[in-house]
Amino acid sequence: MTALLRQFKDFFVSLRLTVVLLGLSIILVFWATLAQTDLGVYGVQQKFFHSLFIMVKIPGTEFPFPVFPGGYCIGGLLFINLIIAQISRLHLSWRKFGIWITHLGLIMLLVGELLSGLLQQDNDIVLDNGQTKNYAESQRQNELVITDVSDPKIDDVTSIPLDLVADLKTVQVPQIPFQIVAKQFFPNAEIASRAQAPNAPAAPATQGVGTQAVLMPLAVTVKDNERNEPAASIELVGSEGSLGTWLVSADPAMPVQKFDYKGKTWKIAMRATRRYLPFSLTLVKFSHDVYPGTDIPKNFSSLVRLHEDSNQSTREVLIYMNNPLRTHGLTFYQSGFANQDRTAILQVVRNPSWQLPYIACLLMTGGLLFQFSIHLVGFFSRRKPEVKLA
Amino acid sequence: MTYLAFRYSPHFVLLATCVLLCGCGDKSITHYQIPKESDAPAPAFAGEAQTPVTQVGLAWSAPESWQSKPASGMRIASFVAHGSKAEVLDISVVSFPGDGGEDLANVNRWRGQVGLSPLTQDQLASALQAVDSSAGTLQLTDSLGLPSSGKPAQRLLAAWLHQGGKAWFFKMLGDSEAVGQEKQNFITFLKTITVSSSPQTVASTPMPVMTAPADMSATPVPTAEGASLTWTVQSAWQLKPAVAMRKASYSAGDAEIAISAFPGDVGGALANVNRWRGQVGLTAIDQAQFDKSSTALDVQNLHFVIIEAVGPSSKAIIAALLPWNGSTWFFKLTGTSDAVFKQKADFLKFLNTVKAP
Repeated sequence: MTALLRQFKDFFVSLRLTVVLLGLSIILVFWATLAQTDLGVYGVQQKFFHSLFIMVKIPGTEFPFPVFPGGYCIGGLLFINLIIAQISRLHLSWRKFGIWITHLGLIMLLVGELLSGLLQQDNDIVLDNGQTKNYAESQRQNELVITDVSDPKIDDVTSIPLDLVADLKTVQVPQIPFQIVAKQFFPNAEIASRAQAPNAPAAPATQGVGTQAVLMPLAVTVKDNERNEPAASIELVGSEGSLGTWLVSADPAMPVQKFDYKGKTWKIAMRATRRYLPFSLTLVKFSHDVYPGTDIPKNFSSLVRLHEDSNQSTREVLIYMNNPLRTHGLTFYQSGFANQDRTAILQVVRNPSWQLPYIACLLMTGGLLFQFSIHLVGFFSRRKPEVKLA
Repeated sequence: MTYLAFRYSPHFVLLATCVLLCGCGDKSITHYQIPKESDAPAPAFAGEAQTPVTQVGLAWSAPESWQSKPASGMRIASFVAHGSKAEVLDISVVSFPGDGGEDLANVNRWRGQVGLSPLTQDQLASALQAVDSSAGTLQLTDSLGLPSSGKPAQRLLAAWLHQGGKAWFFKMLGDSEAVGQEKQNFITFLKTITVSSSPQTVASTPMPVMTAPADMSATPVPTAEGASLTWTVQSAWQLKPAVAMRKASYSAGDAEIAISAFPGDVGGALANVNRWRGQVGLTAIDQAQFDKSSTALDVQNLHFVIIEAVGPSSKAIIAALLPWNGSTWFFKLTGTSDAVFKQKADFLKFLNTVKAP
């Protein structure tokens, strides 16, 4: 082994490194807990745990600077520390088998958390009684969509991430015969009819319903029970020049905006990012049961009809607390309700690694039990009382 | 131990690169096809404004001489006062979430309404008067306009206050002399403003609902209510498919004529003119410049105000505003300057054909 590799190994095998990393983890969790006040749970997850470093802008500039290791950094180093320590310190033997299994469980727990952070998708399906949808919507992300709706059977959708709009980028894609130029972006805004506020400044639009609207920028919210509704003014530029500027907003009350260009009808909208499903769900009935004579909730449940597009099969499923619907790698939880019990909100989670924490916990439990059992048996063997003959 | 972290920085770079690459989310533009979707009818455009909104607000006591009017639109309260010559003064209370915009922009917008030129940031402080109330200190600005086009001068008193995460605006508008007589009452009214201790119901009347048709490209669009104006177009003009918010569109050579109508004053003539000037790359003008550059056209009992704007990139617009029957109608001729001025004569002839039913 070269000196370089040996030093590398000595660094990562060190128990002091483990203690330092665990100490940093404690500080990270404490700091993140305090930061929830300003950032909310989601913001803290992204900034503190799903990041390599906690970045803070240098005062007076827009340049971010790493000030503390983030969750991925600490977790990654712990992961390497654990594996190298395992290989270097422990020898394969039955007496160490329990520790091997326990460490394997711990490694699996770390890997599971990393995979969850990278792969898990959380979305919502909001269904009114009798309504059918074949898509889930993101709780926090939004998209700008340009849809060619000319075909009587198919809608041709182009989805543009809002990051590009926020950066005021110009977008040109082959499927669309015009450029999409983001002129202004508001991360959170209220849109209202101009008739309601005749003296308010005009919204930045020359086409569509935006010409009839006023826009009030709002502060970005980080509260878990509130949603930012971004808005933007989008200019469409064809080969012959500007087609006009449209105001788009993720406000669900924003009417559909269509226009004709080069013999096709187009639709422009900003909306919660959609993830289409290979099946559709219809809310048959949402139930909000209470204990008799009280307003105390007893049960929330949604009876849904699941229609598979592939084989045209239909089945009804009752989703309620601790009884989610699992299908196509997705889990549908009863998450909320609205609209005076006429609307059900189902949380849709895709997490390919959801089983890893369970397996990890079982391995750790089994490993510790095995290891303690060996010691216990050894202890009792050594303390075996001498039998005195009468 | 820690020195190794720097000594073996390539390893850390490798690790960081791997995790960063793993962390890259799907931020690319996507394109896909889905079965035809029907456009769900949008709820009320103003969102929650359809139903009364309950929140902690402000309370006040209006002078007895003021007559209360039903709240409407964004107005939380409305009053009418009368001058010594029976002039009508309009008093309104409006609130917006957030800070309600910059003070300078608001003051200059109000000054524009009464025909005054904008102030600079340095001049702003001297134009404000502090009025104390138990809800906080209000900033009051007094904009005394000038007579224009034979109309008496207007005067606008506007005061604002930030309370409960909202900006609250209190305004009195009307004949300059009458507003001057009523100014002390307005200040007294401002001093009575308190933070409401009990929840206050805001917006007692439903907000107007703005909806769009299912397919704007093929069906009529929502426009100002009431009977429509009629007109006769030039034979060379070609009717274009209806598009959002337009009464009609025509192509006239290389230029386009668009006719639209909206309820109310749609922000005022000056605001719209400045919006159009911005579209062709020109800077905004003030009321005096607007009065100087606009021309009037009377057709029977219809009074058009016509403006022209030619931008640096040869974009041009000739637009006619027509306040009529509680709505504002817009007749716009747009295109390159060559195309627009080639059609100007025909456009003016066309305006002469516009008739009220």
